[in-house]
Amino acid sequence: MRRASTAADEPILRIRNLHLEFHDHGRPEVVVEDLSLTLHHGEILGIVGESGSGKSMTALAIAGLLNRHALDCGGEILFDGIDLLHCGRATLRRYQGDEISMIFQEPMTSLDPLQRIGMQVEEALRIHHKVLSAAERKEAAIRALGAAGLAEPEQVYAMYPHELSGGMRQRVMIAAATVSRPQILIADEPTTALDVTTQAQIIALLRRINDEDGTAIVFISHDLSLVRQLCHRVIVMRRGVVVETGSSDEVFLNPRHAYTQSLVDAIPKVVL
Amino acid sequence: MATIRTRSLLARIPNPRLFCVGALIMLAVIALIVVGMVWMPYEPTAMSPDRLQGVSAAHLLGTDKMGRDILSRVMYGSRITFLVALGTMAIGAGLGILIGSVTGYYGGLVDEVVMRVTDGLFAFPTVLLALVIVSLFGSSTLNVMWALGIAFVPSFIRVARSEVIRCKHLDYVKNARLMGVRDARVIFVHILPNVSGVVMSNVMIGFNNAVLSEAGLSYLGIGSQPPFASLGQMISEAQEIFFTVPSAVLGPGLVIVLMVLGFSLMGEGLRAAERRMA
Repeated sequence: MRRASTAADEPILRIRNLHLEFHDHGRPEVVVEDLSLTLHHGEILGIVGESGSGKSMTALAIAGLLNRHALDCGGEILFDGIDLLHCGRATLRRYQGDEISMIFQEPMTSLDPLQRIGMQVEEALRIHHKVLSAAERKEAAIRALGAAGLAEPEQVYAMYPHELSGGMRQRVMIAAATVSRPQILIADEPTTALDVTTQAQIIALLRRINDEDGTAIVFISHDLSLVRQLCHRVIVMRRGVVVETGSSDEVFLNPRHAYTQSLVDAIPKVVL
Repeated sequence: MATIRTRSLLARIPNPRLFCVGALIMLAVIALIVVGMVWMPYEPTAMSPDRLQGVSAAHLLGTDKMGRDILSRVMYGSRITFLVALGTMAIGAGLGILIGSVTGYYGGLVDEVVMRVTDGLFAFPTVLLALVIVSLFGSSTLNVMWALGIAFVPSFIRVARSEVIRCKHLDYVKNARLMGVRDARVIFVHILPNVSGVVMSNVMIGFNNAVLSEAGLSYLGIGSQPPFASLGQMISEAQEIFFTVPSAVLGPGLVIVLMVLGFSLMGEGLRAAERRMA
């Protein structure tokens, strides 16, 4: 659960010189090089870049989901004074799902087909807040489902994933990720698999979660117009390197780097 | 609630007819066993002067060369065979699924070592491996169960491992790990239920093999010792009187066939399910 007061200017997440390198294909492959960023309380940070630019790897590193066997990692990811990159699995698990949550690109496969929605939304509470009774968990889950914009959350609670549409599943994912009111929500292309109107609703939902709960969001996307709408600050990545960073307005209205310029130029004008 | 659940479960079996026929056959066999536990026409080990009698009202399946009632012995023997097969599956599938899913989930060096040992065990024919174990520890019904169980472990390690590996990179499993779920819970709550279809149909096939292996072992004279009967042993003893009292072979043989057929059909009914899902 959220700490009562975090100084507004103190970043809740600080990444210093993150370096990720794969070794599982013979020759080493650098996927993220010397990346540094800060995330402030209540901020929405966008990470944009083309496929293979290392934006998803950065997200997985923050979430602690990297397979540490096949990987060489340097630098540090500081959250709450702890280096998430090098701490033990047990320490990491304390934060995962409770303080740091993540939603994925593909809502169709992100839910366990054999478990009811309620069970899956409650999972974070079941793991991290063992003091809650079953009834309290259910109440919290239904509240989260409602807050994620699902009409009739009680019914959804008892349903199976195959009974829901893609947009509804993504809402369920968001409910599951926010049920324990995390400080950081990582959204890895959460709208890519959805149609445009659902996209807009999900974006509005993320903005509301940010507004109402003060949850900091790392929003990863290659859709620049969405990033422009949603994010306060933007990081542009290319081939594992940060090429530009700044406020959303700065980057989009005044791109300094040629690559950013070409990305901005690639946005269809009708949308902007 | 319960009826809805059963109905949806049956509806999920794509070939319910096949499954039901198998289940009916199994029910008949189980009925025979259960009746045998409560009541048998004669004591299965009691000898009498009426030796080598054919089918009659007094002895529905005749008597063997020591005058023991064959129907009673079949009832008793089916119980032994069935229980040995169940125990074998509990040991083989239990250990195999446990080991396979854990090594499959973690991978790495331990996985590699376990798989090579498994490959080594695979090189032995199941019955031969069981024979070695039984001759080391002595011949008894319980030892046969353990021996067959251990001999069956490798095949379940393989199945469970490959299924867990297929499943562990799926998004919802990643998602569970992301929630800070402990590994044991990820394996047993989030992965195993989703691979149960494949694993269960393997258990059913394994049960058949267990019935046949038990029958084979007791035919070879290993396993439950005379005068207590198991089906394979009865067939083995009866082969010299086959032409005098055919029912001495056909009776126990039929029960073995029914057991295997029943489980095969049930397994096949479930297996079609995977094909449709895939």
